[in-house]
Amino acid sequence: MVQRETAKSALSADLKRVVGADHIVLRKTAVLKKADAARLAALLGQKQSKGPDALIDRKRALAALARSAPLQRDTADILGRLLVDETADPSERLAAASYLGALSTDMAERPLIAALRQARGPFRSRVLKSLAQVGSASAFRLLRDLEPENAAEARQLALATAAIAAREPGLVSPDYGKAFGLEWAEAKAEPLDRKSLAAVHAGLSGPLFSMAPSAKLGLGYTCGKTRFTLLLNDSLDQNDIPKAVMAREWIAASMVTQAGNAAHWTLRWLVLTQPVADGLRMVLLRPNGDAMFEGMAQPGKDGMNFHLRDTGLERIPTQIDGRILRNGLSWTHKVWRGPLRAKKRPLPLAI
Amino acid sequence: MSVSLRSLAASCLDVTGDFSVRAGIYGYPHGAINRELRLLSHISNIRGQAINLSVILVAHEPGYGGQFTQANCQRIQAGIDRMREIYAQVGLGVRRIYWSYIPVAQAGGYSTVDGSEATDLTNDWSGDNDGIDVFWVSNVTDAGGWSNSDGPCNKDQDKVRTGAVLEISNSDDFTGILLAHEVGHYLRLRHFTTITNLMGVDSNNDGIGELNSTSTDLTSDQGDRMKDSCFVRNPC
Repeated sequence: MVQRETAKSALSADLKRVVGADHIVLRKTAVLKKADAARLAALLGQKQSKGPDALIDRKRALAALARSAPLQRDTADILGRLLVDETADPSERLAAASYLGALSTDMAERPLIAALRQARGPFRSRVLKSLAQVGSASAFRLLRDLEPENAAEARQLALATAAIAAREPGLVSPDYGKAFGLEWAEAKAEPLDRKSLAAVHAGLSGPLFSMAPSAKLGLGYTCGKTRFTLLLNDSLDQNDIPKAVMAREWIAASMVTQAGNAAHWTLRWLVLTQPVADGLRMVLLRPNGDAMFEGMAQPGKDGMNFHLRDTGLERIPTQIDGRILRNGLSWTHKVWRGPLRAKKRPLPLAI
Repeated sequence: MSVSLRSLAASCLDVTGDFSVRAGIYGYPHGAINRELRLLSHISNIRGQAINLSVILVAHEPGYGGQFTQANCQRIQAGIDRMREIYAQVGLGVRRIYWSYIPVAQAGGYSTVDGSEATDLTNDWSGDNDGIDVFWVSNVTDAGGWSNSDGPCNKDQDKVRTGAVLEISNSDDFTGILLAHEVGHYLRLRHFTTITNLMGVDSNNDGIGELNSTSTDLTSDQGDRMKDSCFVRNPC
């Protein structure tokens, strides 16, 4: 007891407050004075009691040391030793792996690379993350050739190689699209001939909010098993559509769809346009009023370019890009093909 | 009024069939607990207004093969018991403990989190029950734990922290104080003005709370505020 009191009194007030075993500062963001950091390094270098007589909370101490003395070799040595000590408390090893990511490359990279070779599970995941933070060309070469153990690790590896390549001149990371699973399927609408357009008009299952569709101008494309046709409002001047849409508010078009083998076409979205100070506001609404896409058309060289974002009401991300030309339209519907969040959240397993 | 343990277990805790008092009535399935358990006062506490806790071990495996040893789980049990003692001061019980885990293979990088990842963790996972989610991780890199002030009633709400995220402290006592503190935030409590209060102090006004081993008091006003939370269940 006397010994403990002596040891405790050897801690400054600041040190007691930040890492003392009987005190918690809830946020681990304190930066210690130089002398306190040196004292802490000395304490962490010793075997410490974890029982009721423990002087310091070791995990908080590791955080404080990494934050307070990131440039000291002692700090890297302490964290590096812990990293490879298989007898150490697993949560302290995880902490060491995390805080090495806050040090400099020359001090942190080597122990992290050494640890990665044996690391599994959450520990491996943390080592990878720290290598993403501080790795250099040596780590890049290792990570690039590493076979991921699962999809989550593949993403971590992709981030790590991309982050290192972004820091290190001369390194090139794999294509971002492939690395991060960024895939979009693209459906580009094509103009329909008058006969095809007339067939769509004839197959309409209901009215289009009093919008009379143009017999001349319509665009069609297929997405999955659904056929889409964009019908332009016949009241718009089809010889100068940009000027017409900027004149007032319009139901400028209707998107109708035909599913699978169905004979009829149904209204899916109304395309509403509204001139505003900086361009043309465009909103695609379901017939019940749900806004499904929104965006702006901005004047460009030969018409107006637009980019419509989905509003998240549908599970699969989509976007629509296109141009409003003097006497026509272009329309490209993009559908996300990358990984999706599960429809239902995973549930933890009961014990 | 006398009540049989079996009928109490069935009506208050949804526990039927054979059960041990420690696991069935207290919700401590991880073996011995290094604290004195007082059954009558426990029963009285859980029969009154109470919250339920949804304890989620992140990167755990049955048989303690993941990041949590049996001793870790026993420390959490002891922490819950300490929390029960603290909340009992204001007549708020901690009734049911739902234990669950996220397997190592699915835990990704969530064994070690910062404040932002803590939010992601609570967004990606939630306990399928009426308890306040308390996620236990190996490390919280930038705090002792994270919670949400006046946490949302809907645990499926996106983009906000829908539970508390904690690391195990270096003692049973601190683990309980920290747990009670973070769940206290979720139950609408803010930092306080004296270190002996559970909600601790923010001594240098930087928004960072401080606690010590004496931070265990709750005022009746704080108790009333906690009992207004949507997570508080009626007496049973």
